[in-house]
Amino acid sequence: MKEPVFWFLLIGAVLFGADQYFTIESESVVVDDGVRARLNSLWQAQMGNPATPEQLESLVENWIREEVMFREALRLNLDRDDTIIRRRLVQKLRFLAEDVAVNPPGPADLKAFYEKHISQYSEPRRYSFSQVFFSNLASAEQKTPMVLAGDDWKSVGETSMLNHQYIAKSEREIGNIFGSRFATYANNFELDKWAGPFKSSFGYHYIRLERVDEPVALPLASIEMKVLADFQEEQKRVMLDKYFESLLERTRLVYR
Amino acid sequence: MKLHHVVGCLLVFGLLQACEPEAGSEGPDKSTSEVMATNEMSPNTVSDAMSEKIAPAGNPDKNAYFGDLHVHTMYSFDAFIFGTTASPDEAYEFAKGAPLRHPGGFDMQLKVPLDFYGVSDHGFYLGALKAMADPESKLSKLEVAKGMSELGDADSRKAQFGKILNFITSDQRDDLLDPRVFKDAWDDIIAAANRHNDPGKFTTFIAYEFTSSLAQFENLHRNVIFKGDSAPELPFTRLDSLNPEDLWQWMDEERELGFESLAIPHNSNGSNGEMLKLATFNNNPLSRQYAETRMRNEPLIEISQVKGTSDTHPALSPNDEWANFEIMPYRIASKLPSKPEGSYVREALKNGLELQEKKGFNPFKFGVVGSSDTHNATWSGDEDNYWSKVGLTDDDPVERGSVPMAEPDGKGNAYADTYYQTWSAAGLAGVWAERNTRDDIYSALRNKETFGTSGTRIKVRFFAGHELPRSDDPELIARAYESGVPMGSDLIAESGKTPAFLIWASRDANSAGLQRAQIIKASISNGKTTEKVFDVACSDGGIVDARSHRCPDNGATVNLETCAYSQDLGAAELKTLWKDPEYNPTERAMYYVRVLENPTCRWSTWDAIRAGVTPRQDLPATLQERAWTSPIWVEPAA
Repeated sequence: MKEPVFWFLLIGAVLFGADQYFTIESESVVVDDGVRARLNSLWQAQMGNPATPEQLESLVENWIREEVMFREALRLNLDRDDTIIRRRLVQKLRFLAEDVAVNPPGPADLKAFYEKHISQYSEPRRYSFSQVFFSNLASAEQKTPMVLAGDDWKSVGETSMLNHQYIAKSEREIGNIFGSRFATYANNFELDKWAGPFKSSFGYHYIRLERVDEPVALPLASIEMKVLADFQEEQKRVMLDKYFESLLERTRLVYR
Repeated sequence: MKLHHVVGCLLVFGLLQACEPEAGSEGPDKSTSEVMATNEMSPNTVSDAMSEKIAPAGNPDKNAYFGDLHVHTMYSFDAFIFGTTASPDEAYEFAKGAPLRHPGGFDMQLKVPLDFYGVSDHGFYLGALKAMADPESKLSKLEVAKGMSELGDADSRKAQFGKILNFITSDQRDDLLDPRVFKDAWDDIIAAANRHNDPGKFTTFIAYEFTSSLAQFENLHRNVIFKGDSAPELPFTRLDSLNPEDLWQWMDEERELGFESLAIPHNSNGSNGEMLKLATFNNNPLSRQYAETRMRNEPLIEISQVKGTSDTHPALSPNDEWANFEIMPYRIASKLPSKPEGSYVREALKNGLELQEKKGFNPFKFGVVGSSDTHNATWSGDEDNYWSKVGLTDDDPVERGSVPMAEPDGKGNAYADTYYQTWSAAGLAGVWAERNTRDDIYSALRNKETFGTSGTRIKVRFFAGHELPRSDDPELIARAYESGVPMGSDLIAESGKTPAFLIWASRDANSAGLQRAQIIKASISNGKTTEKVFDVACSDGGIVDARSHRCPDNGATVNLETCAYSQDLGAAELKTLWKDPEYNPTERAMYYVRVLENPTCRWSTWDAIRAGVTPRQDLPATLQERAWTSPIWVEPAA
């Protein structure tokens, strides 16, 4: 099996040859059975049944009109320096390159891919902690010893709508509750010890970390479709990069 | 011609205008946090997450949960034709935090997952346009379906949509009424809701939109939300009747059969006075039976959503300095002006007091929620994470009028000639419930223990009572429930006593701080209703002025080049026990809370800054995000 790029280039060459062959000369617009068949099959794809002779005639008339004007537009070089056409052509080329058939990965390939990107397929680290809240820094610092004494800690701080205890929150979830800056302090929480004060969107908090759950990988079986989609996405990207490199090799770049 | 126009208008209406679930909205804990803790998913049992769906023990003090009960997917005719291919399943995955690709080619994702979500597609022609594009469906064989399988850019989609509207108004329209298509879509909507309902973590509702309107775009839309995990055979739609009273009758009948539901009207702002008028649909006088039927079926109203806020209008509340907030001045799906009278919530609440006083019934005794009305399947209520709501027609800042066109159009407009610029990055439904379950959240909706926001996640408590505890009581909420009533309830006046109101608001951790909390009061005296806005709690040490009832300016600002806002101004929480200085125990009155954030950039300003252009001068550059609670009604002592 040769590189897919080889097949792509081969198919491209065949199409290019066919195009040359069917283009008889610039002034003649040939309406033959091939044109009629193509128009008819487009119609059928949309409408579910073949065009009637009258409908086909009207389709052909439209096609002639489009074709003649299209050629004139080309003759006037209206396609040059047109950003939309330029992007559209590049896009078509990209789609063609991406569409080159790729063998679906075997179980081993998929597993290897999954393991290589395991951090993407894991539950995040989760923190369980208690918190005591103060609306300003001065009162937070004043109460430190009482907090650290730890007996009746719930009554030491100020009341708020926040909970005294949070269970198994990811950094992102901590950010949703306390503000995104506060979430970055999670690494500074101390196990079974009061630490702080840490500043949040609400004020200042002492935090006692009670448990950390390290990231847990999701079993491959439970997310196989997602891994497959990611695998194919990456394959496409790799293919496109290779294709671009092969084009670049044929190109002389001149910097001035 | 006339009929054609009428039906066409009827149809265009709603068109255009038309989480990892975060258990983090848990309320004040005290003893309850440990109870909840044992029921939270342990990270070591991820693979067990799907195995059992067991509701956790509840928090008797209740938690705030945030959600959206107004979401359109590919089954809505207008959503589909403008590019939305997202299914109800994908809508629910999005609400739980997963990214979803917009038809315009970018990823949409929530910054913070939602606690509950209800897909509410247009009931009529449910799934029909999608079927027209499906070669396997017989609807695709109709002449009018030509082109449906290869819809192109926004303009060609609009043209195709026009063609379909013409068809629907012709005598061939019955060709599109394929009950099989409706049923398949409805069954999928029901199944998706049940698949994603996960007691204790994420709640879904079976729902749909009853999309009625009058000949001149007067909007009468409401969403029907079902309590249970099953629903009637097919929705009752505008094809059955345009009259909401017929919808209520159907809901009553279905309730008898075991299908409990409630309806939530929306976009009263675009009803040109029809949604909340002082007459029945057919302009007969209101009656006690009308009021009871309406309240039995419509305990809530949507106060804020993408097509504007319906709290009040500057013309109706000239003494409310914050009334001019996200006003969408048009009737739905048109550029016809919508008259304010009969179109806004506060005025209706006042009219309700008057009816109660004079006639002994009140058809407008509703609570409030916000929601989005997204037609992309995706809530888009963050000002800095906004993709508007109608697929390929408004996903680009130029299309939605926040960034000028490359060059002015033929009429000399610098900005796209549209109404999307009047739309909002809004809103959210807030509920107070013991658990995040269907039963508990539905009960909160029924009991009006709800609040709405303009998209921010302000949490707000509101109680009234004659014996409420001090606001620093360690068991404040438990005792407030014992000795008072929460938002959405009645309090009966007691002679010789003045009721107290507990107002307690907590900020959104990732938005601006709170600027002030306010009470909106309406009362009736000598047959005349009045309204008044009282500031009741100020941020940054401010004291409410006793004469003007206003907080001092806290000086918070926004940098219009970066959208950075004052970080050290504004309150994390506002809490107060308030008594009405103008209380009169013989007067019927109604009170609700409005909480205002410090100013932040509006979505249109974010769009402009990102595009490197000056924000549009005729739009507000900033806004004050806010929350509104359901009212508490104080009934005079007998």
